[in-house]
Amino acid sequence: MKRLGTLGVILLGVLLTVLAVSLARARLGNRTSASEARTAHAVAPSDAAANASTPLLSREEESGRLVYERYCIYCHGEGGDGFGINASNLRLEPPALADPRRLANEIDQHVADRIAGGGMARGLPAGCPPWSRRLGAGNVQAVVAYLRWLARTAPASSRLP
Amino acid sequence: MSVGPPLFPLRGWTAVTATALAVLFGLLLVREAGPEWRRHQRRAIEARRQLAERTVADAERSLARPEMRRRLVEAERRLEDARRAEHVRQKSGEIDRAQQRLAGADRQFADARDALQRTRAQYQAVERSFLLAKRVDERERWRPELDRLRAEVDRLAVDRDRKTAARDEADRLVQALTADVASAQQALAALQDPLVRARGELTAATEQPTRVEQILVDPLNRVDRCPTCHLASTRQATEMNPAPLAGHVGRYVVDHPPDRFGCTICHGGQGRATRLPPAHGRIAYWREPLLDRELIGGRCAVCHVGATVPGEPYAARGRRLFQEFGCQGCHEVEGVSTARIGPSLAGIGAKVGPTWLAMWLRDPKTYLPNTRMPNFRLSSQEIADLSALLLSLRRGDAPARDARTSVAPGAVKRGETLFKASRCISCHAINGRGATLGPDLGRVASKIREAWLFEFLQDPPRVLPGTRMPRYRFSGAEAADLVAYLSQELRDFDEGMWPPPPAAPDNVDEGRRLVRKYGCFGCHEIPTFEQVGKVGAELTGYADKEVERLDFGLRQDVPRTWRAWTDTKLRDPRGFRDTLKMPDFQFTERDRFSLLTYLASLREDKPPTEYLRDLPPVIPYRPEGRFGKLVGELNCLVCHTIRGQGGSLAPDLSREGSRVRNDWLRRFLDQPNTIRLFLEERMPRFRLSRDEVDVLATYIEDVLVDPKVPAIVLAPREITADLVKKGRDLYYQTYACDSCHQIGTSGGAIGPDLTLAAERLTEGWIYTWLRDSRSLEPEAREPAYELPDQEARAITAFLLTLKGQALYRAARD
Repeated sequence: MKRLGTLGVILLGVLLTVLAVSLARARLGNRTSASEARTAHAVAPSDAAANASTPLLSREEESGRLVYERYCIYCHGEGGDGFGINASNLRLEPPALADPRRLANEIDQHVADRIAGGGMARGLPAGCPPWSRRLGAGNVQAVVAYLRWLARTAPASSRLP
Repeated sequence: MSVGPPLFPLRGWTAVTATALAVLFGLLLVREAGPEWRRHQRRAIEARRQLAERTVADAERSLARPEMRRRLVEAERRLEDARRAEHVRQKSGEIDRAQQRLAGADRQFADARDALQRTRAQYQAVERSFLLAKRVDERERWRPELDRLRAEVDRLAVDRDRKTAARDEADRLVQALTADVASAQQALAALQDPLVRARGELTAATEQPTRVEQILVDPLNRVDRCPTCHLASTRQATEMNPAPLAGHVGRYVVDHPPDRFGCTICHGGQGRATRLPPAHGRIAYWREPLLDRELIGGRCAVCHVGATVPGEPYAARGRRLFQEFGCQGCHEVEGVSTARIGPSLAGIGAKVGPTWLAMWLRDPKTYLPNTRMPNFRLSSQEIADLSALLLSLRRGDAPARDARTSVAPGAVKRGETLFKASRCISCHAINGRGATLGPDLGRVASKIREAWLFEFLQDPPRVLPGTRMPRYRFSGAEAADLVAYLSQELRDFDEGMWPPPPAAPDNVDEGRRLVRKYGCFGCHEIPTFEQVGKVGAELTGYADKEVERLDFGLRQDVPRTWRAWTDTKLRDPRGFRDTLKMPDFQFTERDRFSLLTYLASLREDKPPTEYLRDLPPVIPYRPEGRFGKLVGELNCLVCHTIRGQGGSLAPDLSREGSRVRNDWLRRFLDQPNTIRLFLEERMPRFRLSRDEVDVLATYIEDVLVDPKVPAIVLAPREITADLVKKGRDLYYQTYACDSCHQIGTSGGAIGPDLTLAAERLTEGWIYTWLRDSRSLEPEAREPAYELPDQEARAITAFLLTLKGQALYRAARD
């Protein structure tokens, strides 16, 4: 019994150590990989640096840009400067949408309503046509997002009085 | 006999062991009871409960408003009244009586119907005997019976109709007596509905158990336990929360029910895991790690295989760029067409000179800034060898040397006139101004030999197989005039300053080796290299390529992720190792991100067919017969689309027969004029023969039509001066159509000129367009006013009479 006892002690010690260590590792492992996983959501450092130089538009802003460049650009101009190729043919001057002051005090829904309803909704038939049917609500929201981006990134020199 | 061993001999080492094991077991239980997902779930349930509480509070508050209280009280009173009235009627037996009357009427109707059917059957039997009788006297014997039965049938039919009416009346009466209560109940429920629903939501949120949530998606063979932590992801969210409380904002969850899609099919990760590092798949040997949030658009493109991906502009753009840059020339992707995007190099030895060729190979952008050909960063020796090979590629019948023939007097002037009349600028830019369908012609005479140009202008597909240039039917003299003009005016006047080609000794065999190395045949058809395979890595299933299989080479600074590797590769294709061959495309950031998104859609396992969207038609449209032959010669489908096939530079002709008047069409094909003022590109003049015009116009008129466009809308007498005036007012005042359309000399320049709309467009088209343009042209720039019938008629009348009644009447006949 004594001999078994010594062997037993050693075996037991090994067993307990192994169990305890693996438990501890599992718990700790959980925590560190959890925090790793959280930081892995962020962009890796080299990517972030590269992205910071020319900010890409978000998906909604890019969708809005595509819609703007197909439908709005002829009157409202490239980058919302108000000098589209058709602008001189209009009875009402198209506003420069990129001017940050223009949209600063309006919530997105109001801007979307103005695009969807057009000038006719405000008694100005010769203004912007009502786009709700051709574009649909999703595209109108995308254009609003693009206009916000234009206002954010308009260079200071192009801010019209 | 002693008793058996004691049950708990907890002494000595046994005691120690047992205690230790019990303690460890306890620790394990503790670990199981507090896994991370329970914490997340509790937070999510708490968030849901709080939101539900706020909604209940809002609903209660809105019902407590004086106006709502009034309406509630009114509705309740209405219900009370209705109930009382019904009770009264019930008591007085009115409802019972009405119901009894209905039962009686029903019975009577059934009897009448049965009697009619029986008698009719008898009549038909007699009628059969009557008709089968062979002899006249036999037939006459049946006649009295026949007449009697016929009279009987008629009488019973009338009776049955009467009984039907009586039954319907009785039914209506019963409904009227009991309907009030039902409608009052509905009205009350409608007012209280938001509160009831909010309370239901609150109960559900409060009672929600904490447990593992699992989605079983059979068709995709996946089990996803992601909602265990991401509890809100399966329900439509109204605002963005930080992960893992975030849900899908917008319609995504509505359009993609979780039990049909699950989570991992788009996001990646390990669906069955409930603990963190394994669940997101960022562990060794898991082939589908969680995809970066920005690239998720690529996963939309896995099922949405059409040209646009809803809400994901970068994925669609990436797909388009992959084809435009010709990536499939070196990298095979299953399902992507392998048409070569560059011109054929057969006969290039007779086409260009060595100086230009060397300049081009050194850096294509020095000659053509917007070229798609990338920079291969070739050494001078490589340029010399490749030039030697290419200049040796001549076709048998092409002249080897520049034939500087004497120029006829006035040729340059005639050539210039012909050049302008043919509107070459519709496809070819001149020093940056114009379209980009064909190469820029600003310096063409410095690049291309005159003899080759002379042959090419007369028969493009013979000289340059696969070209998109149409056959203009130039005569030899006309071609010579054009060549004279191009030689004199459209050349680089500094071509003397072009760097000379490398003087190193060159080797045609070495050139062949280089072609094989760099894979030029991926974009250019080269004789003897037609069947050689692609030189780049196959990209089918590239999105699922494990990081361990990507070669980071000598770069230590690149993070070991799929995205970082691919992004670096697109930025600097030969950066990983010296031996790499991919050329430098000099992508912009936007292009790079688009391609990255598209590459994330190239998965190895395709989803089942029922998941795919916007598949192209199984049998694409191909024009046939003589029309098809002409369309091929003139390359109409490079610019125009017909039934989904073709380019988008020019209008869709699928409904052209319904849209335009045939006489106008014939005139236009003979001599195209300007319809849309703001376009740079115009339809070229092909100088078609009468017969060819006839073939085209007849096919368009007969086949390319839309049945819902009517031929005639307004009768002549309907076109009164009043209607025309109304149309004019609508056009200018109400809708301000002149913002985009021109009439005469005023108006906008976006839509087509409408001055001669009566001559060009059919009446039915104008009307249908005003009423519902989206059904005719979903992507048109017209704002889809969808006018009511009267207004559309008025504007149609106005446009048809623009040049006076005379033209209108003449146009109608």
